[in-house]
Amino acid sequence: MPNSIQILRRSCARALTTGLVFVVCAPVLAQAPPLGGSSQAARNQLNPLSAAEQQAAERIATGDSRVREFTAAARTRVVYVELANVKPEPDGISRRDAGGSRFAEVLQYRYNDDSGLRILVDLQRKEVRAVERLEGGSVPLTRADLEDAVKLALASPEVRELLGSEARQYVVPAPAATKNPPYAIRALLVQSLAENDPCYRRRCVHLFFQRRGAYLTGAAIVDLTENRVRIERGVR
Amino acid sequence: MNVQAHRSARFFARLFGSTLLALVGCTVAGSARAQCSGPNLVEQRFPLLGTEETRWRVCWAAHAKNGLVITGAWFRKSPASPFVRVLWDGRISEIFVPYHDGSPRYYDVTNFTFNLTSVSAADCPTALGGAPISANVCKEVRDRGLAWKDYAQVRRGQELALWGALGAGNYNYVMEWIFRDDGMLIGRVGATAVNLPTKPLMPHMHNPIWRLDVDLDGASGDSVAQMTHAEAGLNANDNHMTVSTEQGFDWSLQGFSGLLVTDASLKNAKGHESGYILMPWNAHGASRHQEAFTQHDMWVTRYKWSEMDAKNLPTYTTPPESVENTDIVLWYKGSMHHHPRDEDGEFLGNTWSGEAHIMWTGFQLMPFNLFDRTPLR
Repeated sequence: MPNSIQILRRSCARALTTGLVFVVCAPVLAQAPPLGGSSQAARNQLNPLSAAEQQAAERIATGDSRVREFTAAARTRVVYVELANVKPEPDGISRRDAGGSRFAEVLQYRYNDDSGLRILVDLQRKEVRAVERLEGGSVPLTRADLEDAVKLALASPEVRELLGSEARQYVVPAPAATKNPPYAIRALLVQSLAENDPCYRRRCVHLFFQRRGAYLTGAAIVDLTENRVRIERGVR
Repeated sequence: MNVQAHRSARFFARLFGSTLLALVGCTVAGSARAQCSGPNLVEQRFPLLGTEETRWRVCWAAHAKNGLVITGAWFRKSPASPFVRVLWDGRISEIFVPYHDGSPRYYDVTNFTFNLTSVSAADCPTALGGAPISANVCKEVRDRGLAWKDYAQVRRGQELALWGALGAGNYNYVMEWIFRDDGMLIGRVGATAVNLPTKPLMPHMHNPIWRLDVDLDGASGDSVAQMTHAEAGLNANDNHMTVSTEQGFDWSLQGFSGLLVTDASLKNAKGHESGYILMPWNAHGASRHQEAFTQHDMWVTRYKWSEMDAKNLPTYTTPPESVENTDIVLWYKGSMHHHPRDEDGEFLGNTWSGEAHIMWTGFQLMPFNLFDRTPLR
């Protein structure tokens, strides 16, 4: 039979071991994935959003009253839905809440006042956790924007004159194209600082035309806010 | 040894043994799980052959706006050590391209939601250690030259590189993240493809600005010190000044300036605070443009989920919040000055034909007291 001193010593040893284990393990576990959710969920936490998650995030975002207010009676577009690699603190999103949860960032653009809305969606709670207004210059161009710009440009007599008889052959290359097409249209978003610039506070796109590897020195500038097209002549 | 001393020795031996077992157990627990999987998880041990010494674990994603994003990076300095988180998130927040005649002034990262360009065996040859890990991201594991040399004793180093190229209109930007066997992390951007077609001879700058959410040993408890060097007669002084509030810093060529990030709880076996130093890689100059966010080369901000855009740095730092013993984010601006040359191309009729060869700029995050002694010996 163990005497009381032995029992006391064993109890002390257990308590000390537990304490030491906690001290030793805490920093290690602090940087390990959260324990909430299944281990598979933890392994997928930083993977890109699935198509279903993207759709869910967009649905949750557009159902939020702040987002509805932003998009009401206006021409808007969802620019992207991406995994948001957010941290729980600080910002009012608690560390406990974030364990195992995945967040999505939904970006909306509004044409009439060249502004954007960044929306943080908690996919686990199925709710919008935060929204933030952005200037239009912080909202990227979408492929749909580019296709609209190209349609407008190719309908313009000036652009058709610039491109000549090959005008109809120019295409916007597929995002993952493995070959450069012989006639390609490339684009950049125009940011204007000058109030007298026609693109000031407008959604404007610079279109460049690549013909068999060489670029035409003339380009088109398409104002997507006003649906206008003009030509920019190259400078030698 | 008397009985009491013997019992005490057994007691502490048992205690030590239990703790050691627990340490091994929780280290395995901490290291066995990654937060990503499939092609988005890259684990690389070093050296490639022989006994493992160090290891990187990297999670990555192709982001619609920012291109190749590192969504987590952990380094293990020995097989018996736990993984230490280095980056929570690393991304190129912006590439600002102002032309010398004042316009245009492009924001090449903000411009697009296009995918990264495709990569193929031509970009990423197996024979040189390359392997495409998606349709648009290449993984290379390669020799990096000498790690150290001491007369006849020598060690060559190795590194893991992940890269993808952002198609930004007429330009391509190669976004490369390099994870070295010695714990060093290098980010670099290479600008290439075709000069602006409407004015291909106009000089301009490419300024990539990285957002580096450095989280040593967890998100909280990080602090930053500004490292400077000054000559005074025959002597020289190196200083580490704690950064107390959010602000921007100028890189000094003569001052060898850098930013040292440390974590309150992360120490090496010598008891020294472990950290990483942010400094330029391949810097040819430091641009200053009219835009306020270009007025500094490095910035320190306190983490906020929505603060992702480099061009808003002056707003993020006003009013300045404390960045001591908290969750910090570093920002680094690199500069490439592109003065067009005949090698870039030529006019052929009403077209411009030619390819501007790649130009690089970047940063490095160098371990500081992370190892207990010289690694890779």
